[in-house]
Amino acid sequence: MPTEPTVAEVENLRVSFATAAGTAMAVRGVSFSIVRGETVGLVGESGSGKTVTALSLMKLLPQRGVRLEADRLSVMGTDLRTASSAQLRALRGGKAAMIFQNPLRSLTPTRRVGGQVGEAVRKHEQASRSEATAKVIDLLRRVGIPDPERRARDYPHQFSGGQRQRIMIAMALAGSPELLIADEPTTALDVTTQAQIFDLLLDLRAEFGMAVLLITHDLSIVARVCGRVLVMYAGRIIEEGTVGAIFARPRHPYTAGLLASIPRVDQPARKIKPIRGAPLDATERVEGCAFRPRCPHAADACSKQPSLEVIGPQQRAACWRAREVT
Amino acid sequence: MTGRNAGLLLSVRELRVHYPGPYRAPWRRGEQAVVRAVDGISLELHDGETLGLVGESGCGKTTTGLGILRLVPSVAGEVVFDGTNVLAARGRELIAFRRRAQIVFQDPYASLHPRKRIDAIVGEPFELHTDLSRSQRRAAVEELLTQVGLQAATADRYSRELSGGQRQRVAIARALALKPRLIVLDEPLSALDVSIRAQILELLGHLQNEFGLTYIFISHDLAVVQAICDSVCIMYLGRIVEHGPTSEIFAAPAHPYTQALLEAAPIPDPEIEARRARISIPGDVPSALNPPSGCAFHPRCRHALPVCTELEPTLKCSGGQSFAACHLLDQTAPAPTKAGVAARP
Repeated sequence: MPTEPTVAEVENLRVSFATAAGTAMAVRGVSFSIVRGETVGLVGESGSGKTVTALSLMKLLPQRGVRLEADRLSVMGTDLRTASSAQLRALRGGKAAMIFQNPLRSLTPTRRVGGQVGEAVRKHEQASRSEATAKVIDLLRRVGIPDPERRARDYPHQFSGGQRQRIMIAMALAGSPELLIADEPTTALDVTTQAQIFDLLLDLRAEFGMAVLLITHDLSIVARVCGRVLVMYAGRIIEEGTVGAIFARPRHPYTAGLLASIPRVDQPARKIKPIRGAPLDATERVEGCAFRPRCPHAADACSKQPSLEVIGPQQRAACWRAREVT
Repeated sequence: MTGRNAGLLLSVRELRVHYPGPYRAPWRRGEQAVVRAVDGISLELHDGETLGLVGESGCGKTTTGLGILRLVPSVAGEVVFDGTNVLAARGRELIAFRRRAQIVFQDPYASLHPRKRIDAIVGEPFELHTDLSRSQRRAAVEELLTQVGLQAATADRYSRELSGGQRQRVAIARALALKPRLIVLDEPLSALDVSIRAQILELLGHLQNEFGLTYIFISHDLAVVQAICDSVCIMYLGRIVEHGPTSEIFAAPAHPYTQALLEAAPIPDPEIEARRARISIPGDVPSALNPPSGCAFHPRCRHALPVCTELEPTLKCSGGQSFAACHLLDQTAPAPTKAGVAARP
């Protein structure tokens, strides 16, 4: 889809934190771009750097103790490395919005939800109080809150987990975003509610033509929702490509291992094969491929850091032995 | 009865766990509200089997597990474990039961004491229930740690020094210490990383074979349940809505709620996902404080009939050895007789 305009571009993003245990390198060189209207899954385990990457795209990381470097970091044409705080304020919740894992923690407990969504509306467009109220009710209706006129006057604790996440989505939509970053939006929710939220996100994406960056640890969700996927391990993207290509034939041993280790409801007799060992700690220094200690195919070559190489149509993997072993 | 039930380890009849609802001032009229967390659950578990308790948050699956182990107050009903009437047991009999039935909790970050060394955590059951000497305890702890795939030297560390997977292994070692027959596993994988879950799952299977353990596996993840459970109970608002052998339930779910859960479970294959019907059930689980009339699932059920709002369905045979509580069973095939329940092996 080279004709679609790019909404986000990241080149060689590196983020490190100063911790008591030393410098934690959360992101160790990540590059990707997202074009208008596509749904990209950013997959990884805890500590892989997926959330830090997403927060970097909104410049939401704290200034103190964090070192953020990138050759390029732009969202909707705004260069985040040099943007003023006024530019960032206009971008966040405007052309780019984000929803988080725990909707209860993202909402103010003591304000009516209508007021909170209204704040997002009035932040990004000149609207009178009554226009804003009308827009709030329209947004709540679009995200599937029944009886929005009445419900707008309720407080967050009066809603269920799924409805709270719908309210967060309504707030995110207030600025008509071109990019919506969803950080594990359903991890705190039940499976049936999870299905509802993803159906909603897919509908809205089609309706508004926005791009969605979905951060998750769950490959099954990526298969359901995304068109393209970026797999992260130890602060790097180790495989990327279209969902079709990667699920049909994962070329990085980590991606392949993950897919082999999850049970499936449609395959009762499936034998699951765990990946050995544990993920790398962010404070550890890595020589060569970070997956090497856990990799069944590790060889001498792996002591050097592999880079993402094109390995198939619409697929790239960072593995020295990808061509031999997969 | 005893002859036919050979190998029956646990039998639960009409288990109820009711909690008082939100505080109600004494001068307010009406009765104190009651949360019926578990409302009349019956199940049977045979030696060496794994039973899955499945449902969404608030369905009472965890409370059922805790109730069976008598770890919550105000449990009513009957729990018979290997000849022990658990809910009536006192003194030595109760202590003996505690030795034989153990639990592993969901969050190994919360279930291990942060200020105690692993040695003390895994050794505590020995301290309480046996008269092993200090050095014997240490040897037993080291053996347990090796059995769960940790190094013996882990005994000298603190839980904060361990990863999530290692912590869950420690919690499993602690549960294994007194050679129990039953372990309740309360969402033991949910707090773990994806690549670690399969490791723990493999370990649980291996330990079951080695020690002849019986598991109650509490989970909301149907794929995992299918992978390790022999039989499964689907719960909704404190009741079992469907139960039977895992293979039967997954192949032909009879209850609309089970069908909805299976449809909602994502499959890691984009081609299958693209072809799947997307029928998500509307709404949320209602409050156990004020459950809907009749069948508790009727407000969300796409097949709801008038009768569903009035009459609560009972568990009926839905084919093979499976049972479902749904009025639709009466509508379609001729309902099998109730004798099917008694004839269950």
